[in-house]
Amino acid sequence: MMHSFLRSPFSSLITLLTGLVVLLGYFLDIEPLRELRFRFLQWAVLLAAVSLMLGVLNLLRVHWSRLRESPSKALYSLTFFGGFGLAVLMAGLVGIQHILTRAVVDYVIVPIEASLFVVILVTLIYALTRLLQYRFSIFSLVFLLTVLFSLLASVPLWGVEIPFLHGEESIFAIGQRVLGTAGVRGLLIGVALGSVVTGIRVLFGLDRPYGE
Amino acid sequence: METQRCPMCGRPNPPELEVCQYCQARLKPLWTEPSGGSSAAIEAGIMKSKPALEPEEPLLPDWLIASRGERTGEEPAQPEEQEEEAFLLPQEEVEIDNFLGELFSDKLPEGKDEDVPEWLQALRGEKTAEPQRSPLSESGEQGEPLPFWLGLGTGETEEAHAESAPAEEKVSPFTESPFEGIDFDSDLLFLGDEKPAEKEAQADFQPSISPFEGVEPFLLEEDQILPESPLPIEEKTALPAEKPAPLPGEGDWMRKTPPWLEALPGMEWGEGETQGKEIPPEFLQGVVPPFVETDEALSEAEFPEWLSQVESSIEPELEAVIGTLTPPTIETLSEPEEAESIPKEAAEIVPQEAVPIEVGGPLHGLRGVLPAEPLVAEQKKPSKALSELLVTDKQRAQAELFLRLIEEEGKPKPILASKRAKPHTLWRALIFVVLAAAAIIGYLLPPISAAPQELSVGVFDAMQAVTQLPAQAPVLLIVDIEGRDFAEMQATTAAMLDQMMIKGAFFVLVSANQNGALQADRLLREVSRLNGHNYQPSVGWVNLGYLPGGVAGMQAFAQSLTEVMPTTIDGEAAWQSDRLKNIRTLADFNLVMLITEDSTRARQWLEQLKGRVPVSRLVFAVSAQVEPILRPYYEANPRQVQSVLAGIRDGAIYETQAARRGWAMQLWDAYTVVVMTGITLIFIGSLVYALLALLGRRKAQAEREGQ
Repeated sequence: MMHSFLRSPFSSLITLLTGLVVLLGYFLDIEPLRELRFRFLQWAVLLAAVSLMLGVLNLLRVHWSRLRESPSKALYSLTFFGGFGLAVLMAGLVGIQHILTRAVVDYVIVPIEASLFVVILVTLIYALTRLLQYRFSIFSLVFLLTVLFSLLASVPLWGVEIPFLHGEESIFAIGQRVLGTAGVRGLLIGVALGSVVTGIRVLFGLDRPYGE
Repeated sequence: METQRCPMCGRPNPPELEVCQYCQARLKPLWTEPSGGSSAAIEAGIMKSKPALEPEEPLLPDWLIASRGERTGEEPAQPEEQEEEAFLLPQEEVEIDNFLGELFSDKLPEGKDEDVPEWLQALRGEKTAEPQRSPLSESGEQGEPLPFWLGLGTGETEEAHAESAPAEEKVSPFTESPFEGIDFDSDLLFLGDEKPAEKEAQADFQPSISPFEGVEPFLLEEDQILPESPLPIEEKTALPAEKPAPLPGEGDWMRKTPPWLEALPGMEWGEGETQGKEIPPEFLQGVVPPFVETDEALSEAEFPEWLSQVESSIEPELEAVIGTLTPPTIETLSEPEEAESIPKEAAEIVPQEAVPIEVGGPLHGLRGVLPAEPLVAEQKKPSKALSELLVTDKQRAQAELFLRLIEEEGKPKPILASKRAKPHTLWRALIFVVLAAAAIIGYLLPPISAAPQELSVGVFDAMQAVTQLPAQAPVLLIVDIEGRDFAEMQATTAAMLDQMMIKGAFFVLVSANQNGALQADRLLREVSRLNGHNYQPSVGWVNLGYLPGGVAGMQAFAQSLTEVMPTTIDGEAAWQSDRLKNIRTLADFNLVMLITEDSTRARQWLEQLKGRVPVSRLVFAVSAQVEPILRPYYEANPRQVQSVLAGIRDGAIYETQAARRGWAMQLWDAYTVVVMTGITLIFIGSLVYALLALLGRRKAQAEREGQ
């Protein structure tokens, strides 16, 4: 029923009116319009928080069902339930300033995430070394040399400065600024155009991401 | 508009075309009679006249030359030569040389009975068995030109022919149309019971003009050629009572199915069927003997058209075609001189079974027929490729691959247990070990690398913004970092936060990341601890916690932060304290600093904060990978952000400029060693794998060349 409601014209009408109000609030500095726009944004923030809570509840339901159906995989679900209980305990009872919460952050969350990041670093280096084996072309060579020169330019080499690599006015820095900035500007223009088009399509009801 | 019909397909064509636009058959003959009397020559009762034999007509048979000489009244030279040859040569050779003349001269070649077609044998036997002459033959003697086939049907004996056929009176059957003088509406053609009255009428019969005169025989429908006879077939074919009965098996050739008719497609007659089915088609009854030898007579215009136009340029080609597609009889006709030199054994008549059957055109299914256009007929032959399945090499390869896959599918493959680690796994492990060792060594070793001395523009602007901060100023810290990037972000921002703590700034922490609130709290604690500050929560900072809603939350927070985030993460009223009671909008903060390693999040915050915060109070401290994304905003004119601190390098520069050795400088050596190690690993690994790839290519190339 909810699915059909989201696909009904009524939901499209709500989306259209809400979007128009928020959009007009950017251009017209009128108090009622500004107030209405802010209320809509507050509702959006509230709904996002509620959706996050719904996501957590759904995760709990999935793991609960897995715990009941396949005891052989119960270890992962039990770990999840343990972590969830600990997080609720830290945030709801002892607070983030408690020593237990700090310990969890300092000795569990940050080291694990850092280790995963190191795995990514090793994988990237390994993939880069085998790049020429899989695709020995001029573009692969250009990519490899760009990576090597960028890394060389980011470290001082124990006091040794290579003229065209180090320094704000070096050739590499100038090229990095010009080429890098040009490329990013192009990306940003593309992102802006895509955002505008997507907004217009949603406003006119051509896209209904809420009905999916 | 005048049109000309194609002799092959019968469709109308424009008169100027030489080749049929539908079947590509030749419309205009290669050779036409120069006298212009070709049309007149085929008219009934008009004798074809031609001057003496010209030297450029070497293919005409002797009997035709003789006949022409008779018509024109001139004394042909060739008969004389033949007579002379007849004296010099044996009778058999003379007969072989004039094979076609033999056929219609009612002379049986001696010792060649087995080579003569059955229909011809039957025809000759009938002639020898019938001493009487038909009224038609009598009428022929009266001066009217009788077709040869009527002469055959009358049963003239060989002797009668020899006696009653002096050279000047003998009529060659090839000088007239085969249908000439036939009244198809009458019953004269029937050899069955003829009434005496009819016989009398036949004696006075004057051959009328053929209904097919001037019309191509191929264009005529069967009904047009011969109307349906009112008499039954048995009556038509029955011999008259007063005539002597023919020899069994010879005289009633019409009752016997000739081999050429058996070869017709769709004519497989059962043995139990009536005799009527064994009789040739009605339009052929008594009119046309089998076609091979009388084709010239049926279509006189066709025979001399292409056969007598043997010029030097096309002669070899035509000879080749004739040699393959026509019976030897025609070859004998076309080249009488050569035929004279042919040995007797070689000049034997080819059996009828060996004569090819026509496979195309209106003569389809007939044996021994001269093709009207051999080249066109060849072109019309269906290609052999059409009858075969066309399979390309690629399709064949795919089919073979598919079959191989199917075969291999059913075969079990043993799983080989690898006892040794693969080289790639070793290489990955080596990379990890080397990097970890470099990081540990770089961190533990005393400082070996000099601090970066240059002052970047971003660091300078950031220092300006911090320097302009008043004491006890409220600073908004937006911390959107994950745990994996905490070390880098701490090194980037430690010096700047240290400078702010020195000035006694009061921090308000907020994050659009679920872990951001924890990371922000940890960051301030670490900076305070490392730099010897006594910053504590609630005294030094308040943490507003997680800001949900993504971009919408950022927009709402930028519009009215007090309403969107009214309380701290501990549940206390955030904006009621003495340090924050004057804060209502983002512009009330003396500095807004965004700390993130996510480029998307940095861009979203920048776009939502634009216009809400003065640019001079907006500073970004980001990871090195985010710097290219923010550089356009920073280098824009006017700027959209006051400063961008990027990576450990800018943090180290800040510490160097601030003359306070902090977290960035502690990591600087380790960072340098790890980066240099990574560069070395990439260089060596790329070199080794590139060499392996080149060697592999050479090896594969050598194998291909070896194969």
